[in-house]
Amino acid sequence: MNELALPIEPQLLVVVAPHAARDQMLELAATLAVRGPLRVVDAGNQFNAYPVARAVRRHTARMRAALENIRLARGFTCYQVLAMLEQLQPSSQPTLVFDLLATFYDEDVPLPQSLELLDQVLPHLSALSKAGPVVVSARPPGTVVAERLPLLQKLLDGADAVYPLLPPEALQAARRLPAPRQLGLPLDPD
Amino acid sequence: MGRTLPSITQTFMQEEQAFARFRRALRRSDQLVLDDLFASARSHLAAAAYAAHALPMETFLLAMLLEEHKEVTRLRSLVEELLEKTGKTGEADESDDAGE
Amino acid sequence: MTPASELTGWLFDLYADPQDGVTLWLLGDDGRRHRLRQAFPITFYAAGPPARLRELCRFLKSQPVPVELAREERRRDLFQPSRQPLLAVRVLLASDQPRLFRQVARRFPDLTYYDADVHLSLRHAAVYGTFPLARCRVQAGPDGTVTALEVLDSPWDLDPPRPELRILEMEPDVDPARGEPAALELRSGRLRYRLPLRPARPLLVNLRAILQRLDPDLLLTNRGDTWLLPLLLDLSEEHDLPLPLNRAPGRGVARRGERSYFSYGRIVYRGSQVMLFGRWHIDRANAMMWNDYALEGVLESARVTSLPVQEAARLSPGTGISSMQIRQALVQGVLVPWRKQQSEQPKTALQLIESDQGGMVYQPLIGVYSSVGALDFISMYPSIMVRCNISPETVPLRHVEPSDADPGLVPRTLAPLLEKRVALKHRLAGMPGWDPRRATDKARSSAQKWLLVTCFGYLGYKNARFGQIEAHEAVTAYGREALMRAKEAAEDHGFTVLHMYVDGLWLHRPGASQPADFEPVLMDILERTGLPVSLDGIYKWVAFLPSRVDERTPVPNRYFGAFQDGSIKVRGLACRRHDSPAWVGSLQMRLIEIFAKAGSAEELPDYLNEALNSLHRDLTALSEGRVPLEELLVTQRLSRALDRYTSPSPAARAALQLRQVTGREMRPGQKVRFLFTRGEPGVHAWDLPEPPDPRQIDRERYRELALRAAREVLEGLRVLPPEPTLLPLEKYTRR
Repeated sequence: MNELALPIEPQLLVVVAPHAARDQMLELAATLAVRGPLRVVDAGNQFNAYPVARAVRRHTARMRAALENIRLARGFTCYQVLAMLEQLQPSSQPTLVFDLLATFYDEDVPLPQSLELLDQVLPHLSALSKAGPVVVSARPPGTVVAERLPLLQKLLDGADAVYPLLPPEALQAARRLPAPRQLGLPLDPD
Repeated sequence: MGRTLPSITQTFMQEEQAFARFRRALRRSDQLVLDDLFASARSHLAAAAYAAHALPMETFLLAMLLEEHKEVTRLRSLVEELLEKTGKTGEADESDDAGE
Repeated sequence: MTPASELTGWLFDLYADPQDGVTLWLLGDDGRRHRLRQAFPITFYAAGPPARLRELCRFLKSQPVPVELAREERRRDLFQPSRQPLLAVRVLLASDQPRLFRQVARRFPDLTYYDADVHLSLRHAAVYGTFPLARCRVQAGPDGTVTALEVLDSPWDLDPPRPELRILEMEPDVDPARGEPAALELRSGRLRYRLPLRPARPLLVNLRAILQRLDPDLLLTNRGDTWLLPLLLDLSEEHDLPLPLNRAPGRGVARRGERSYFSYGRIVYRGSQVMLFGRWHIDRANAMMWNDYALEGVLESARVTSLPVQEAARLSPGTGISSMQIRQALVQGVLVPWRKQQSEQPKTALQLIESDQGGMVYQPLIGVYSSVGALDFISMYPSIMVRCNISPETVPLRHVEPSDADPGLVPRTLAPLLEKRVALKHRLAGMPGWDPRRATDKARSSAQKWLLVTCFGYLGYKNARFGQIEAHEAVTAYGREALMRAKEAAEDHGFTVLHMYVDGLWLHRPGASQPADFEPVLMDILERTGLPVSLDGIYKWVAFLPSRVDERTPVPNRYFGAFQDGSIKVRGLACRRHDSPAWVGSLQMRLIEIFAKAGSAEELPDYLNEALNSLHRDLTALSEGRVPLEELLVTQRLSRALDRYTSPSPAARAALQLRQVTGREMRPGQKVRFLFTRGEPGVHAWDLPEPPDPRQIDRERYRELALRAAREVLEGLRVLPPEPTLLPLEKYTRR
């Protein structure tokens, strides 16, 4: 599966894929921007606006107006990501969160603390998804931080639907999740 | 803090790469001409960055055109200089060309 | 000490002590080293819902640590629109605070904390104006308790009075990375000692006697952090012979482990560290920039940052400027956030495209030019922050301009440092070559430069307490604007802009050869941008080179040239690259020096023969095996862990070799030295116990490197004759 269906209903969708499905998420942002306003939280330094502009241009001649429809903010630490989600007001506009777990995989923050912060993040996502569609992308942890897999599980547990851009069996494994080492989940190479 | 957008040089290389299939299908001699065109646009990467256009390729195309026009202007004045030396006028020459 | 005596001297060291509160060491004018104590309670703050703060109060009252609790409303979080009620926690004994705070943060993770992990030296600096080697007048009781402390000078003084420091230098006779050291060599003034490392007992006894007799202020070592002091401490414990490395009795030393981390996009390795109390330890091999600025530079960064000397010597980028900001915040009553939570204000995708840009980097006009002036904006980014008042609380507008508004935290922090640097630069410019102050001024100036260079990156650094993306973007935006205005000014004055690079411009106008020719354009640029700009020099000739990959493509910051005063400037050539062997670098530099004798670009071909002869001599020396192996050494940094290379680089192959033979594991960011050799694996690690066989050296590879370096110069200068086969070195023009 390479395309994301257009989210209209209020719900929390989680996309799990290598590189946090960056290209598909950018494409999705472009498609939504042509239709109306949306909000983007970039938690993994992923929002390359150029492919978005090109995709928008394919759909409409009013490229600038469509790009103005996208309001984004970037978070570079998990504390910032939490603060950004706390500040987002529930809205019927779609909300895209890019690479949510990237900063939570950061080794500078001890895992228990990352888990605690993620616990604070999830209620905000779920509150936002009561008012409008929320699409969150995430990647499996890289091989050097394989022990951070519980973060991904926590996120998947709270989702209304999961887009398995990973092989389905790998995702199944991630949802059962005994111990990270025993999983067949392909870890992100970088 | 890492930047989010690729640098103008990376962007330029990505755009050039996007035409790889087009280039492959060109004759070898035309491939070299295409490479020249892209190379000429590189002299204006700073201006392209400063322009901060949402579709950078448009700026790169304009940069190629600019270099082309510079070359045309240079060649034109060279031709005019030569014509002056040989005592012919531009108009006469053009009609000569047309006759051939 | 007599009751309530008065002392003057230099503040030497300052740290928390469970008995003293704060321990201060003073180098007295009487020549003695005084240990003093001072009560110094420290305060941190918590903010959050009132009910949770009340719970925190109850928790704190139940703890054995003596604290005073109060409500606080005057202090301000720069990132919050309005002041909020805070709980002030005043910890009476400074040494209790770190542990207490860790407990609090664990139990109350939902609260916001301020001033929680601020360095004790910065807190002290904010209250008393202290800094390392500050001149102080102290009133102290008979037991050394300080009752009054007055600082008599300022870190911004250009000529601070310096105490006589007692320095003991200590190093192993052999670099422990290269071999097995047999002895320690010690030097202090005219004294020289050589202490065999084995047996350990006499070593320890002798060293103890020397430390007690000399009582040095500074232990200056080579490999003291990573090898020597850990070894001595281990031996001392093993033999149960205490070694007074500290001046303060009864304390252990402070140790920090090694680590690799990312900084400015590349991986950095930091070795372990050993720091002392009441005495300084500096490891030349582990001190940041020691080769550039030595002790004088370390003292300068300690003075201006208020960080202890031992930390200033090991400063990582950003820490210095961050400390200055924190000190300024404490002085102004601005809260220092514990965890930075403030994030980017939302912007549209279009705004992102406009603002997410770096400095202005122009593609140069490839070629060789005379009559070229090099202009520099002086400390451009810090100047912009100060002149345009860029700081988190001044909320930069989309387009900033120079402003006289009440300066914010960041400009207030930077302004005195910038002023001091400019004053020192002016003084250096007017100072004759023989002036003894020259060397110290230069060292201090480069320490300041380093602090200022890092301050811009720091503004955008994700963990910077007072960093802000918008501020970072505003600085680069005005930087680009300034270069645009400078370009327009230059063109109005009839100059061609050959090149622009972030904060420098290269202007060419036929006949412009005197500083006076550039004076009007300098004035005009200053007027249009509001930023100080100076003429770095006038080139006799300068060559801008194309890309190494494609000769049609200009690349920024790759040039070399000779100034009118004979000095040479080179960027982006082999001799500037850190991985070039010394022999290649100096061979290339010799060629440039020969051409530097030319008065202008037209005269360059006159020096071709001399250059080719020089190259010929160097290549002959190589083929006859007369080049010392040390000069053929290549030094490269490991970019990742060894088992993560798919096709190992030469550096990785050398590191693998080291691991196989010596079992030594190298970490990412560490540098590996090696020689290119013939056959497999193509390298010989320099730190292997076996020396390389000189016959195995891959001379053909070095010859290639030399010819490539020569080509950079000769092609750059366009002096190659049309018929390359006529040259004595037919090969070097063949690609």
